[in-house]
Amino acid sequence: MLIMKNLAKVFYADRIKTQALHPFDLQVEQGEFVSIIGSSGSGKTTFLNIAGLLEEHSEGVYLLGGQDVTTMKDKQKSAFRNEKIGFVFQSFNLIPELNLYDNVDMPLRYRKFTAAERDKRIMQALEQVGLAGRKHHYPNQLSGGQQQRVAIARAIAGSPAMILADEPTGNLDSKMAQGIMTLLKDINAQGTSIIMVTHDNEQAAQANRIIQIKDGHLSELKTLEKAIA
Amino acid sequence: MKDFFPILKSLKKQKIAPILLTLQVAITFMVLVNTAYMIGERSKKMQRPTGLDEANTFYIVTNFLSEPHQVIAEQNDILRQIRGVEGVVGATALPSLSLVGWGRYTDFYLEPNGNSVGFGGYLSSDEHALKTLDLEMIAGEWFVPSDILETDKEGTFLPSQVVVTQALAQKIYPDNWRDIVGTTLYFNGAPHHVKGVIKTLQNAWQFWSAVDATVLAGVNEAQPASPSHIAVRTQPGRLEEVMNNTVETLLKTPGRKIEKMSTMREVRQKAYKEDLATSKILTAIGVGLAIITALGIFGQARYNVSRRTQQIGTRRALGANKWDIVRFFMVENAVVSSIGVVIGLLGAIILNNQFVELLSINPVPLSYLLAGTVVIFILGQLAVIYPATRASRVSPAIATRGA
Repeated sequence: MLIMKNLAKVFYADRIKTQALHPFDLQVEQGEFVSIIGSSGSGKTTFLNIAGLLEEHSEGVYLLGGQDVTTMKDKQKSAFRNEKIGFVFQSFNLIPELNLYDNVDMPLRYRKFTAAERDKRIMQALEQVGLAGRKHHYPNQLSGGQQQRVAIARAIAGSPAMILADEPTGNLDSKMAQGIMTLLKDINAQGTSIIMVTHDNEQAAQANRIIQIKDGHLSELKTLEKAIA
Repeated sequence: MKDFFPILKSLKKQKIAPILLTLQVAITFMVLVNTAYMIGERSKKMQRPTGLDEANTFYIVTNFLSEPHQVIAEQNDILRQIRGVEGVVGATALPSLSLVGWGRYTDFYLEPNGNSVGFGGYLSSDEHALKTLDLEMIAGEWFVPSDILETDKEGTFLPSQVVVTQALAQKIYPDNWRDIVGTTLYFNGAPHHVKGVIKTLQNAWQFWSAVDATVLAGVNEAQPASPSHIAVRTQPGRLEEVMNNTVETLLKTPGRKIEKMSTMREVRQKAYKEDLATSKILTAIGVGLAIITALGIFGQARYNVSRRTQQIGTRRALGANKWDIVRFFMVENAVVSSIGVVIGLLGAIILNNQFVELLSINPVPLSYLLAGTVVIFILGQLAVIYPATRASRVSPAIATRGA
């Protein structure tokens, strides 16, 4: 589903070259749950942004769902992102002025779904995260864990092939965090690939695969102990 | 339309900032429409025709040198000299002229001791006035030389032959203004026979409601105590040249002085100086307010963009393309402007009703309200383009990295 070949990312700031990601190969199959671990500044977010078509890569080839995303224009890339990828952010990134229903509706409005189709998807997604009864509430009326559930509902409402989760439990206490992990695993069990960036080794260990990024170098770990070591 | 309802809900939730902006738009609309209407009315007023060939007409005021009983002859001699100048189409003596601000006015009666049937301005001249002033006869007949009386006193008291403007004829005979031809009008205690009707000839006061109601008497008047006032019409494009040559010709007579000389364009400019100044002030107020509102919308949109940078990044990450972001801000502004315009419409109508009562102006026509709506709408959209474009350039990566 996701194939990256010899992919690299270089930043230039004041003509100073920074190799954010050294050339690497990566393949993620449909239905896999992959954790990305690494210390701050290691390149985790850069990787996630490239994988999510939020940033351009500098070198290499990136195929998503069999399509080369390198040459896509902004409009095409936006539509592709909307259709193929669901995002879960550390800070939830809900729109405070919109209620839960409208928050989940937001990415669907960029697709050519009918109002009835959107309504069906929104309600299904909210039911899946257990918040259908609170669809008229606003984000500030919810706990952090509930807000992240809404963000997950927003991510899955469009039936994406892949969810990219950026520290999804980073702002939550351990109980709420485990609830979110359970939810993500449920979604993964239904066939949606998940790539999750995390600091938390225990959560990382719940994935099928663990990728470590260290100083811009990607390496796959067989076991978590290696990462800790 | 896909952003419309979420934007509406979002604005409802935000409350204060959109309400303030909406009120600003409403006030601007209200003031803009009323000022535009007042400017339009003034502009129409300033463009009313005097009936003269203004582009090629000037008037000249010169002194009398002869004995009091000879001033008529001297005036006729001055007129002959002027008519002899190359490029002169016509010249005629007129104690007063359109828009000059000084002249005579009178009440009109159809019977010697009857009730007034109207009032208007009084001008007097000779048979040369038709050609000199470029008047248009629309009923009856123009003066023949034998109609013209000559006097060195105030001619308004002499029974005379007169022509009247259509506006005056309509005032006196509203059912059929042509009926005035052949009747006798009484004013200043004397009977005056109406020979004909001319289309337009404004009298001396542009601000007067009866500026178009004028009687022109066939009286060649020259009073020893006053200088001679003469209107001169030139061939097209020769105004300046003829003015110079006229002065040169007249000054060949020893003792002759040119007390005043002015083109009709200058007369018009002077007459409407206050209206022009008021229009400029109103324009400045309207434009200033429009700029302030545009800046307000611009500022609010910019603030919204900077406040919502992460939200914009999130929208981009979730599938909005650049045009979706531009459209979001444009629609948001359109919603605020539309609500503002609706409130402004009501306000404009209320404000205008007050102006109608206080300033005796006509109600604002629908066309102004529609034009105001379009202007405010376009203004809002123009003001929001730059912030909206900037917003569209927000990287979707902001969603993960933070603003």
